[in-house]
Amino acid sequence: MNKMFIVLKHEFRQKIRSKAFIILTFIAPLLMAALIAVPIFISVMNEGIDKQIVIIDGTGKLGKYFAADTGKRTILQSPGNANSSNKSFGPSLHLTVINSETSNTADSLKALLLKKKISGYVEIPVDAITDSTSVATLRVTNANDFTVEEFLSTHYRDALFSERLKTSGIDPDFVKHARQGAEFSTLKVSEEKETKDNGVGFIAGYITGMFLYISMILYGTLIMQSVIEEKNSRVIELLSSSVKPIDILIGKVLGVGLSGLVQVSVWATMFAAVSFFALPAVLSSLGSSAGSIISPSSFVYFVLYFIFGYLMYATLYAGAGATVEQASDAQQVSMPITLLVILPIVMMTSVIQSPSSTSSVILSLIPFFSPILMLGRIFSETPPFWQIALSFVLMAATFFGVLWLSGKIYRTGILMYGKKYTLREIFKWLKYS
Amino acid sequence: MSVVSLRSVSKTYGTYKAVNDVSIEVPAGCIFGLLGPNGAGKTSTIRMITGITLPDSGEISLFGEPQRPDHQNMTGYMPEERGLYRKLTVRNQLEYLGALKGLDKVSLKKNIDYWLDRFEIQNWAKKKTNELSKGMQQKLQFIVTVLHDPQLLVLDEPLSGLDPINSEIINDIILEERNKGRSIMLSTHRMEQVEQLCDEIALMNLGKVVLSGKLREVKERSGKKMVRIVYSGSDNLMNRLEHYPIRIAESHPNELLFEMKAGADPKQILRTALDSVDIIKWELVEPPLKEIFLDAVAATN
Repeated sequence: MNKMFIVLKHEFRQKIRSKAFIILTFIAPLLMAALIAVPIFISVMNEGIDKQIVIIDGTGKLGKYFAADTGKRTILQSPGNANSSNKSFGPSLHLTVINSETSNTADSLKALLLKKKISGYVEIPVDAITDSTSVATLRVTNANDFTVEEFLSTHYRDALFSERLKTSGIDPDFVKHARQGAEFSTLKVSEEKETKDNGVGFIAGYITGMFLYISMILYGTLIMQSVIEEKNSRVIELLSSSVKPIDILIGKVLGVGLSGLVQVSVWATMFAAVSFFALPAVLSSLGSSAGSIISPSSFVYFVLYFIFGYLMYATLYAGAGATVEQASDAQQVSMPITLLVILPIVMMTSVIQSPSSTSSVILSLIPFFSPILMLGRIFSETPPFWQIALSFVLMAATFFGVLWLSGKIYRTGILMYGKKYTLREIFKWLKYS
Repeated sequence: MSVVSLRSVSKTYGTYKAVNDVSIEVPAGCIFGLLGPNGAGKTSTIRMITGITLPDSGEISLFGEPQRPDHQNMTGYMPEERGLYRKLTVRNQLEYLGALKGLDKVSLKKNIDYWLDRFEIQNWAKKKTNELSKGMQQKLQFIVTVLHDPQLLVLDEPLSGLDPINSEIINDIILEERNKGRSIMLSTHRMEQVEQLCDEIALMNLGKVVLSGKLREVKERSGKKMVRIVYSGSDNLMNRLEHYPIRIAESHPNELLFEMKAGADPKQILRTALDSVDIIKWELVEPPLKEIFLDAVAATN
């Protein structure tokens, strides 16, 4: 036991002092932040750009809907929201409406477009209001700017709708009024309160699931590499003349695990700092308060599932590592374990969508799936406490089972050299004393 | 008292009997040689003594008591396949492996400094192990073995891969440890090292002990009569002696070592030799261990 702690301390120190660890701990969050920040930055940069769009209005009636005064307008603002004070980013559109039906205009506009004098032009057919099969066409050189297309098509549809109502003698304002107040809201009900969810629980479940998935594979692989390295450098024989193999195994798993906890804590602190300033704004824009999703209890569950998941998977990876000599063979033996981590990710969507279905309950209770699936359920619809408790009991039992299995494989595997062992041979090791 | 005592110890891997009913006694304060060809079961035996594996049957006693895990702290082990952490510095390596042998911080520092001094590698203490030369790594490996001042040293092929100078250093330290009252068990292929160092030997073949005892007694028991002739002259002496009931063991330029078989008359052989060459030296020698080794292995195969 005492020596187990020496191994633990050594592994922990080696890990947190390594360059890779330091880089990953501090660079990874920066990369993540960059991933979020760069698109925002780019759209801010684009703000000053004007896009010239010419609308050839064949009907002569629709143009006024695009712009009361045919001038500059900011896109990324839905027509219904036009009066909202929300600041929006992105390029601005400069609209010019021409009431003409000659093909000459179109030809000269095409020439202008190809010379990049304008960004695009829309042709609205003469019979657009009467003919329900007519099609308005936007011509652009870059068909990938969906914001422009979205803005124009939405306005076009609204304009067409209003004009057609007028033709039928119906007041468009009356219809507009009739359509208002049709907001539909979803409330997430729990014993204590009702909260607006808007899919934030789904997103939170998915993000934590992905995080667990990545960290299980990351730390598991780290452990496996460290086992293989000791075997490959033959230092393991020396070690096992000082320490019981099972103590090496446990010390290694706990030491690397502790370094992982340090890493996650650093990330959590960074995340908390960021969310304190930035997240409330983001979440409130989604119509939900930060507190309702990232409650202290769900954070505690997250840490607990991380620890239990780590213990199970890291121990499995360590056992697998003992069966090979070369780092290059690691991939092959770790495949089945990696598959165990991938499976719950694949099932996650259906489990989060119907968290209380029998299949979801059963799947989330399978110990190897619990960290990702039960946590996902906790975020979307808190399951009965007995199910959460049972998942921990099952995971603890599985951990000890895995420890027994990996311990046996490890003890024999670390001294086996010279060939690749088949699964059948490895199972025979379990019988060795 | 026996430092190491194996009684009817067996170890099987799958269907392969690596160690078969082996009994060995290593007296305290002696250098014990465990000999045998490759695959004889030496390393399997040593791994059980060092507590790396457990015997399937039989009993192992260390220091007069049934084997316990904490005996590992009193044993220093040098595996045949040398192994060190490649990326650890010399000092970190010694600190970690020493701590695992139960050394506290103070004795760790003291012992590390002593041994780095002794091998004159203090300047390398902060270097990573994979930056050291092969010979330097061997020295480091040896320091790891003796760092915690163990009562029992178990050395599997201690001299393999060492140049003559480093071999000499290691040999000297082995003798020095013995003189301090430590016990040393070593396995080796090098018969001259055994003759030079070992007080007692056990010879293993095919998982069994086929010969054991004090080196001198083993030689006497073999009953071999060996003669060494040193001569001058270009005549091919070997051909002239061929028809006598002898077996040539070694033949070098101007030197011949042969075994006298039953019915060989030394006077006649000497006379024949004198007729053809000038004899510088004619001596009855005790059989080299190599001869006994080869005989015993051949007899059991």
